[in-house]
Amino acid sequence: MKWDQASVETYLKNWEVIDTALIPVIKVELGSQAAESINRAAWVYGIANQLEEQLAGRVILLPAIPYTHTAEPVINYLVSFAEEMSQKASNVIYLTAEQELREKDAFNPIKLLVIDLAEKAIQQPSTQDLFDVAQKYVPFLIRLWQKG
Amino acid sequence: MSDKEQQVSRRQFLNYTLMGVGGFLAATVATPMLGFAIDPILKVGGDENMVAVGDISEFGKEYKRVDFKLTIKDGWAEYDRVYSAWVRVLDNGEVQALSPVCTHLGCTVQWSPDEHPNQFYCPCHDGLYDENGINLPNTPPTAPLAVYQYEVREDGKLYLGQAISREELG
Repeated sequence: MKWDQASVETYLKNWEVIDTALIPVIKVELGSQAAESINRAAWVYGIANQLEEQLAGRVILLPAIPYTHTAEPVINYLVSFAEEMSQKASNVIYLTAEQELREKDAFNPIKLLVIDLAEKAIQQPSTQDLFDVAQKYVPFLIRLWQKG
Repeated sequence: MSDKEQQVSRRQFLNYTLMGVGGFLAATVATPMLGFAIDPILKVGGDENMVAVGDISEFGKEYKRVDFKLTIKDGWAEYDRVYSAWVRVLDNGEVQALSPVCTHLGCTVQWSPDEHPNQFYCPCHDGLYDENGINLPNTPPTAPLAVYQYEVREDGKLYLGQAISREELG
C-alpha cells in the first residue's frame, strides 16, 4: 500500500491487517558527493517500491527519512519513531543502503534491512535490477510474519 | 433589392478574404497540435503491448513463473513495469497464464508452497486459490486470480499482455 491519496481509502478500510510499515532511510549528501548520494537513493526508493508492489496488502510504504553525515542522531530518531509507529503497525522495517547504520545498529526490536549495493551505486538501476534485488527481501518479510 | 444593398466594398472584400485565409491557416497549424496534446487523454486505461515470455515448448503441465517487463504508456507518462505470471499448458493445449496478484489486497501469491501443495497461497493474509486460480471459501480473497491475455505466435513464442479479471472476461 502506498502512502498516497489513491490508496488511502483502501488503507482506512484495512489498516488493521496492514501491519507492516516500510520506511526508506536515505543519506543525503550535497556538493560533490551528490551524484552518488542520488544514485543510492534511487536504488533504495526503487527497491522499497518493488517490495510494496509485491506485498501491497500487508505493507505500507511510508515517506523516506533523510539524514546526513553522522549516524547516531538518526538512529536515536529511528528508535523513537518505530516505537510510536508500532502502536498502529506491529512491524516497522527500515530500508537503507548505508552500511554505517548497520554498524551502529545496537537497537532492538527495530528491523533494519541494509541493501548491499557495492558497485551498483555508481549506476542507475533498471526496473529489472530493482525487481531482482527486491525478490531477495520478500522471504525476510514473510518469515517475519510467520513468526508472528 | 437595391444595387446599394448588394454592393461589397473593396475594404469589406479584403477583410473577408484575409479573415478567411487567416482562419484557414490558423486551423491548419492548430489542429495537429491540439490532436497531439489531447490524444493521450483519450486513450483510456493506458496502452500496453504484448511481450514474448519464452518459447511455448518451455511450458508444460506444471506451473512456471515468468517475469516480464511491459512498457506502460499512461497518458503522457511512459514507464517500464515488471510483471509476473504463473503459466502452464493444459492437456488440450490451452494456456493458463495467471496473475499472481492476490485479489484480497494485492500481495503476490506463491504456487504450491510446502504447506499448501497444488494451491496458490498468499503469504500476507493466508489467502488460498485452487490450481485454476479460483479463490477458496473461508479465505480472504473474494475473487479468482486475473488471467493474462496471451497469444502463441508463428515464431512459436508465448506472448503475454494485460491481466484481466475473470469478471471482465465473463
